[in-house]
Amino acid sequence: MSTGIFTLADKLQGLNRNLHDQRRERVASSKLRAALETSVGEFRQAKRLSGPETEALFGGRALVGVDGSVSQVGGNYPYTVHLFKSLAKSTLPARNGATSVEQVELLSPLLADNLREIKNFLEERRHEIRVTEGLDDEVLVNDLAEQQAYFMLADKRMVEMELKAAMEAIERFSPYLVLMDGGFSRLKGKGGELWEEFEDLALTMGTIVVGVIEEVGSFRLQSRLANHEDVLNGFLHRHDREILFGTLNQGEWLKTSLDRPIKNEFYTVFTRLSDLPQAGACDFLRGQADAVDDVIDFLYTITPSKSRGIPLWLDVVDAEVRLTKKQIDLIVKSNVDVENIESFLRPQRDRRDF
Amino acid sequence: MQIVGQTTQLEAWVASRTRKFHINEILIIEDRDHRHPKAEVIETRTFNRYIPLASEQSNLVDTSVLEGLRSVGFDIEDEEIHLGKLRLIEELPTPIRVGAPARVPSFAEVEDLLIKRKPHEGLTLGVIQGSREIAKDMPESLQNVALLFDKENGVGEQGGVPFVFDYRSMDQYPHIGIFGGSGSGKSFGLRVLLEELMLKQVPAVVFDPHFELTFDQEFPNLPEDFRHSFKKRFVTLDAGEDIGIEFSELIADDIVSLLRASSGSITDAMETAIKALHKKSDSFLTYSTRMANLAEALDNEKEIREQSRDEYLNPNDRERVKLLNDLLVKYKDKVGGFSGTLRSVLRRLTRLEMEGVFTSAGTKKVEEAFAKRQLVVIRGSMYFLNVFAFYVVRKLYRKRRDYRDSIQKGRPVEEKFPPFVIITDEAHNFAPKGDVPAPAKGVLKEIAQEGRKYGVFLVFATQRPALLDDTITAQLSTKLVFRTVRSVDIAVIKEETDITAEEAARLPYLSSGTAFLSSAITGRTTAVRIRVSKTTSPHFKNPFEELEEGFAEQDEKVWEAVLPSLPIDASNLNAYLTEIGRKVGRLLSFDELEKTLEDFVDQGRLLKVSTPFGARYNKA
Ligand SMILES: Nc1ncnc2c1ncn2[C@@H]1O[C@H](COP(=O)(O)OP(=O)(O)OP(=O)(O)O)[C@@H](O)[C@H]1O
Ligand SMILES: [Mg+2]
Repeated sequence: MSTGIFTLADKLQGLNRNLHDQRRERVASSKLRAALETSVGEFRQAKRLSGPETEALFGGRALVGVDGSVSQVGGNYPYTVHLFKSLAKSTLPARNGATSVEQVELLSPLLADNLREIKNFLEERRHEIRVTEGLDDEVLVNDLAEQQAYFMLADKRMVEMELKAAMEAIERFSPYLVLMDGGFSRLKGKGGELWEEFEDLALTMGTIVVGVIEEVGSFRLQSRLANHEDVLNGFLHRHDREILFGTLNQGEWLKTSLDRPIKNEFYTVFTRLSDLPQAGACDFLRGQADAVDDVIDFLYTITPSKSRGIPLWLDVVDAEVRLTKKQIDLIVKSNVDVENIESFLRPQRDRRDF
Repeated sequence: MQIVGQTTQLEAWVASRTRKFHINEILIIEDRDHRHPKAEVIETRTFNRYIPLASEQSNLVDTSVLEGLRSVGFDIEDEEIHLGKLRLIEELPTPIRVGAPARVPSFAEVEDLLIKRKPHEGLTLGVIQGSREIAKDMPESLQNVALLFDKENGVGEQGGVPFVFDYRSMDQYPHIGIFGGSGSGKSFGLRVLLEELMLKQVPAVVFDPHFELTFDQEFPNLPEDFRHSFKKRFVTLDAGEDIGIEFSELIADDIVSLLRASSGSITDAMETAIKALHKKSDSFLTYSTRMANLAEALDNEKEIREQSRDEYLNPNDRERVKLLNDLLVKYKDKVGGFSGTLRSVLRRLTRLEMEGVFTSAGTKKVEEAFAKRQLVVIRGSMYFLNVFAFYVVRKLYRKRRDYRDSIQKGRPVEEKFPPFVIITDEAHNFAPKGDVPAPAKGVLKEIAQEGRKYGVFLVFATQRPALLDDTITAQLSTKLVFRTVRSVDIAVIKEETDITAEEAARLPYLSSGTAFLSSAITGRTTAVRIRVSKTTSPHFKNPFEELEEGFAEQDEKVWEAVLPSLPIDASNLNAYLTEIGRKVGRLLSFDELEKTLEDFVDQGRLLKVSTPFGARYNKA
């Protein structure tokens, strides 16, 4: 064995020491909590609802979970296909007996229609798409730009399908609560008009919609805490996830102030729904912020304490929406001829045989 | 129900959200390209993907979570997925279509597969496992022909398609093996098979070492139209009483194997002597006398040689001396000159004679019963049956063979002799594997190989197929395999049947009375639950209950008999013996009467009081 590995081990130990030193500079957790209470909101302890309490809360209406999945088949752009599936699953059946809404789509630069769409998209978003400067080869630059446009389009497609499934579910099931997998920023950012429509529909139908975030990715707390001396000491990057890690107790949530919300468009609270120490978050529509106490109690109720901190219903939807590698292999192989797979859709790495 | 996952030309998985699969049930796969093939479920699974195993990362789900979801309308426990592994009844040229729907067939669609014979044409042994749903639209003639039994619920409905064994095809695919560990249901299954043979009036002879095969006691709590009396359809014969061996029919080799079977082993010297001294058609008397004389002659050899030259001997003596001398001349060299050997043989022979083995009864009673198409049960200890089986089997087989041969060759037929079945439990004792000797092994092997031609068939039950003679095992065209735990036996079963790996894996866990029937006649392995028997063995009762009941009954009889004689003079019990004995119906000994009276005192039913005339038993 080469000795390089020992050198790496040494370097890792150095890193580890560094991190320890950093953490040592942190203030006591009580001090951090006090600062969060003054500048962000109050800590609340969620309670597990009893059966009758849950029933009273829902008033006979359903719970819907929404999730999407994307699978990629093939190799590098443009020899690739994206398969989309979105699912909104209800706990109660609709009048026709159905319990879910499902959408599927396919996107690939190998299809002429799609390719045209990609090119148009590229034109529209030219300003957003930046390709590494200094490249002289114009063809290559264009290819890279096209590829980026394609991936953006794929993201957009996924969001649209999730929103569409959610909207259809609201119409069909008229649920009390809709849980979206992931925060609202992505939905709004990529959904555009469709998001506005979704928001409007939820508000008119009186359906509460919540974006459930497994692990916070925002960067908002540090500015709020900036005027508290030293509480941010020892945090490397001061991301919200770093600040909240281990700060909340199990079942505890940080009820951010409604007057000074930490995101402008939505109402967001931080949660710890399972025994894992990292914090999650929930996005609410501003107009539905009063429901937050009840909803968090309910989400806590349906989150297994030994889990990744996601309400089980979203896990159920996630399991159902996902296409496994096996399934994908199977449908591709049984619907696309071998010669087509070999010449267009075979990723390079599959051909290596070690 | 739908075909999922990967398929082959022979196997596939079928999944359903709502319906559990039953092991061994038959389904139709709606794969048009393959003309809707039929398949059997060979493995079943159910799982709930939202309640993963505790060992996986997300542990068992808290009850609050389940309750919370249930309150909003979703019961996670309903989210089971049922899977069944299918094996096609017939292999296809290409794999089954994935995604093809599957369904439970109607009875008409699988009738040909499941019912080879109507119940009145074959042996109705039990119910095909996994056929409950199919049986719903089964014609009436197939219903209530094979009721089932289990210990908790007693006699219950048939609940499935009956399994009817096409016994007439045994002329092509002869012989049946019944294998299974202790308590697996062999004897029970054998009883059902015998009942069916009796219903068809097939002559048969059973060797019954356990004294359990009588058919006059009815199985309790059978519904009226399922009952049947077999009283006229069988006879029981006791080996050594109703059946004997006609010594004059034996050849020297037979005597050797008889003695070997009855006394474990014999020496080479004994074997030589037995053979040397035997003459065709010897009776027991002529043979044993010859042997005794020779032994005497060997002991007194010198005198006899001298006396034989003595001209003045009286005529009686002279005759005797000549006899002995002739024996010496003729046999001495052949038997080795040692009288001890002969006496050992004689002792063994005499013992058999005293046990009643050599009577002139022969197999007459068996033949009479065969003429009436009855079942003959020959009872005796294992040791005894081993001695008799070879003789009885050989004799019956020869008669049948001679009869067939005469017809074949157009010779005049003297005596008609029917085809028949030979049945035995503990078959590995009659025909053990390897070079373990057993008197009947030779003829049984011959029947295993040739019996088919003459209409003579074997039904061999054993706990230990691994100990049964290989040639015979290989000739058993139908095998009924009950629960088997021992791996050596499972290995033999795997080799000698078309049982699959999945089925073999189930063998150790089969419930008593469930068996795999692997047969060249049915062409595939069928899992069968053996029906309830219509009769029951005399010791079907729990032995300890039987003990209690039996003695209580006996005590009651004596009590009734004692009552009128009270008070009883304890010093003169002899005076009461005849009187009480008559009432009880058997002779009582002094000791027994005294003990019984004392028992009654212990039980508080009698009082023992002292009087001036000695002790006396009074009514309490
Ligand atoms: N077909 C059946 N239906 C219901 N119960 C059965 C059936 N077969 C067997 N049993 C039950 O199992 C018990 C044992 O069966 P059986 O006496 O036939 O076992 P066995 O295989 O002959 O055992 P052994 O080798 O020890 O003689 C029976 O007393 C009965 O209670
Ligand atoms: Mg038995």
